[in-house]
Amino acid sequence: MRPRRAFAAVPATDSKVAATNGVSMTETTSQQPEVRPLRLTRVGALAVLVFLVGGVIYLFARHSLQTNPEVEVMVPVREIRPFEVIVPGDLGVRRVPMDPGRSYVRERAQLENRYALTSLLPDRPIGPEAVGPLAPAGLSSAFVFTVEGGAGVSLAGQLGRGSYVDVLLPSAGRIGNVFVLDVRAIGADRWAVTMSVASPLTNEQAAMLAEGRASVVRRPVGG
Amino acid sequence: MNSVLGRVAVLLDRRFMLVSLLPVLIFVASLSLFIVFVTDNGRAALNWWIRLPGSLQIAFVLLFLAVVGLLAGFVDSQLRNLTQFFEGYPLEKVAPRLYDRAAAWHSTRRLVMGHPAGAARDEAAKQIGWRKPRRATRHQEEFWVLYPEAERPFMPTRLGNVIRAAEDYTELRFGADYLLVWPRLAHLCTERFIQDYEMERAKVDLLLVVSTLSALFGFVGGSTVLVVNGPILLFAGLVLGSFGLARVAYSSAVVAAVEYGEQIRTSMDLFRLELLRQLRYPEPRNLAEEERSWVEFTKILRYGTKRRSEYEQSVPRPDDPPLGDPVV
Repeated sequence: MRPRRAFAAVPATDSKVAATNGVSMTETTSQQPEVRPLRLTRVGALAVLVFLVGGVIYLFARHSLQTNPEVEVMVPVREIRPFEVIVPGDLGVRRVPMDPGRSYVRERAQLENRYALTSLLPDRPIGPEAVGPLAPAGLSSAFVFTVEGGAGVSLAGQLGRGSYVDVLLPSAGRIGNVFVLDVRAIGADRWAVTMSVASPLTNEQAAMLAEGRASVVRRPVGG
Repeated sequence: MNSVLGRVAVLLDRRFMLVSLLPVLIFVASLSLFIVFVTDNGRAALNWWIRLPGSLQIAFVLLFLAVVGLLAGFVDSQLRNLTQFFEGYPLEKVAPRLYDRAAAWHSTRRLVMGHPAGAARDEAAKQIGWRKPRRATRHQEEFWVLYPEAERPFMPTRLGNVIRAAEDYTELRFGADYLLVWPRLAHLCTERFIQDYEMERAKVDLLLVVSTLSALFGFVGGSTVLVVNGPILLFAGLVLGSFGLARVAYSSAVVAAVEYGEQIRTSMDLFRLELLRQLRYPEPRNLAEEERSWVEFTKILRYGTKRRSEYEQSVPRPDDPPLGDPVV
């Protein structure tokens, strides 16, 4: 139902009968209203205009202050998980303002066939620290595991990404030709070495590696 | 009567779908997508969605629909307030001076429209910035439905004046306050008439909802572009497009309100005498007698006074519904 009306106090005017187009009608004279007429549409249009002009000026000012030129950088088109190999189809190009404090990978060749060290989000520029060296063959199907320990795990800090090492298992022998994906310090004199094994493993070996029960040793010379 | 109410219930359901649910669904979906893509999260969102398990996708869709349904219910419950907003009622409390000035603008415009050409009209036209008062003559036939009588209070908006003109019709012609009479009159209207009445009312509501949501989209979307430092052209296009659509929808609502106003007038023209009979007022022989009955009935409803006139012992017609107890 219709709500109750609120009677507005618009000044009454004198009335008279005016003949217009042959129709007799009650009409007001041209007595001046007590208040100055104002079209509400103009108020609304003015509000929109203020928002529009103010917004355009604000954006223009922000774009002008942004003096850094834009550069084209490489971005993933999908989320790439840690230790996943980056293939050509994963990459796109995006323009971003140049930031002297940060560097992003701009060349496709610096990313293709390498692997991600952290999760790379779609449309986000990729820093060089977020990718590892060229991935070994078969990384996508390799067994990836992490061994944590003291300085010995990192071979006294001589181990780096892209190295090849051997891994000793307490009771399951030695696994050779193990690729080092990442070496990270996780505390005071504590290291975490993430590696991948492409060769087939027994269940016992896989279980031990998954639990990090392994020792990292140098590969024998000429091995 | 049961079948009439049943049909009305069906109509109201369809009305809810059309007036509230559909516009809110489009609004929420388009605004969400706009914000996701303008903040450069489009691909991330798409990948996130693709990687979600099917059961979670279904759960999110159901959650989205539930939120939309809740918002639509809220919008539906606020339709009366929304109409009042566009009629200009809140302005009287918030900015009474602006209310008066806007009402005066419409008062002057009506004066120009209804006044024969001459210096007086040109002077009045100048007051409201109407540079071509000759155009007013085209609207001679229309201004009775666009504006209340000159002696009546004016509203500050076009929509408010169109609806006020329709409501005033019954009071000025017959002395009956439509807002008080309609709840009783509605039960005597035919099913077909109620359908038409609700349809016209739904058109007005739909267009006002579209107008509101368009303006809201322009404001929220525009603000998002400002926050993320988006393209200037996108901002300008969005604001102009959204508020332009809001304006077009409002203008269409005014046109629809004219039709709705005709339904208000028609309901009184066709069914008011039947209501008088149901209320056991004597069948009027002329307008003066009818006006006396309506004025008394309106006073009863408005001020709670007691009825003084005698009950008419009318003879029921063969197809009449049974007469109930007198109202007072």
